[in-house]
Amino acid sequence: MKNKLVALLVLALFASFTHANANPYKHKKKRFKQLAYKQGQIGAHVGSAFLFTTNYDEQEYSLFGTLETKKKGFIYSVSGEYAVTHFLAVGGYYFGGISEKVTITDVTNPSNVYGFDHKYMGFGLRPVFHAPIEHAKIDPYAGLNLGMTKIKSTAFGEKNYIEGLEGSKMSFGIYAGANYFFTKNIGAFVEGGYSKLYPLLHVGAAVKF
Amino acid sequence: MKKVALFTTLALALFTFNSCKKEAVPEPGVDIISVSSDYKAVIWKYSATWCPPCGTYGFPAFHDAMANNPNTIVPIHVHPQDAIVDITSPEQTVIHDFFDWSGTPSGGFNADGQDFYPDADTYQAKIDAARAAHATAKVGVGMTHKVEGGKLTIKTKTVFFQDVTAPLNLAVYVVETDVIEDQVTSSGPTLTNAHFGPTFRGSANGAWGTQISTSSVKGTKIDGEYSFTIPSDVRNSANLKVAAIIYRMENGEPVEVVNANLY
Repeated sequence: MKNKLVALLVLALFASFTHANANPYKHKKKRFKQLAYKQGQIGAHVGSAFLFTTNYDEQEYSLFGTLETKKKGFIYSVSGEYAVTHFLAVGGYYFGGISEKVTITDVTNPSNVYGFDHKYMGFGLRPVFHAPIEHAKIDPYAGLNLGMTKIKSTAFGEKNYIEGLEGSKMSFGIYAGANYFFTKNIGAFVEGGYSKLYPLLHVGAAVKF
Repeated sequence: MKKVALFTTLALALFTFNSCKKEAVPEPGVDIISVSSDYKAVIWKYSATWCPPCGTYGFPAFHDAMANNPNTIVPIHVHPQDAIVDITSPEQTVIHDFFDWSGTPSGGFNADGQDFYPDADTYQAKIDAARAAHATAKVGVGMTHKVEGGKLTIKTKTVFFQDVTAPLNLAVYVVETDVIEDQVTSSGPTLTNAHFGPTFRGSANGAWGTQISTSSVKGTKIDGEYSFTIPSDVRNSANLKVAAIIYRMENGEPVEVVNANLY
């Protein structure tokens, strides 16, 4: 539920910026040479990501004992894009650093402890719609992520007979966010969305050139 | 500037949602089945509260075995009519005859042996041998039970950790734990208010259970549901537990305990 609220909030912010800035600078177009987004530019994001929902079957694992899940690591994400038109860019993304340890304790023999170390990473394509507001600093956008999330699963424990998660799964979803440029080339971004096996919130540095 | 502050505030507020731990704690025997991946050996004790050698030899040997193996055995006390058991179930008679217990105290080990006056070392050797032979459990079983009126409703789940091709039965026994009674001895005073371990009260599905598989692949899960009428000599139905035993069968009799569980 909270993930959907994050997505709705960011989409609302995107919509409000788009609406508020639909035409106000039309008459000032000639005054501003600097635009937050323009055709032909190359953009990139580097930052941290949050709210990644892992997909191991909790009900299945709970069948074998008491379950404890610990997420660890620093989720990092990078993306890049090329502005094909004055509102559409295409690019790609990569994220990694997500680890979790799932520990199962046999309730009838507490010394029988086993489980899995999961590691997740993902990559894919990002078509992005940039709101054509022609603002000097703010660049709201929305788009799709179409890619794959790879899961590495390492079993531990002597009596671990459960199937691990290892493999690749398709990941697709929607997102919206905004860049804010402090200078001509450097700024920050925040982005949220809704997607399976993909971090739902990203923040970090934005660059363009 | 305002917009920078807005973005920063939004990012910081949502940063706190990055949770690092979540925990699910099933309560076994109530509403969550917990299947053990460990192997448990089954040990039996046939003794009576009126039997003096049972108090001197049988009771200490069996309880030493229980204390030395708290999580890796399913111990079952079988009593003829005595201060603890008024009603001998028909399944008990079958089990008694199978192990050919000639007197008290006698012991039984899984489904493949018995001894008269077994000591703690004998029990331990049998337990160790069975666990070594089943170091990798092929099948596991978990159960829940609930007292409803005068009946015990039992649910089981059997999970295959490997492909198994063999006739397997699941026996669902009901035992009463922490029964307190005096036990006479042949040397020394009576053991007053002795705490007896899991005492056999009957079976929900026959002496050797019912067939659950002849061939199953890894990952197969088999659910079962049983009802057991609580006998009148049960002292405290809150102390009733379920001992589930998976037997490999040949010619209608068990030849191996494939795995067992108790709670």
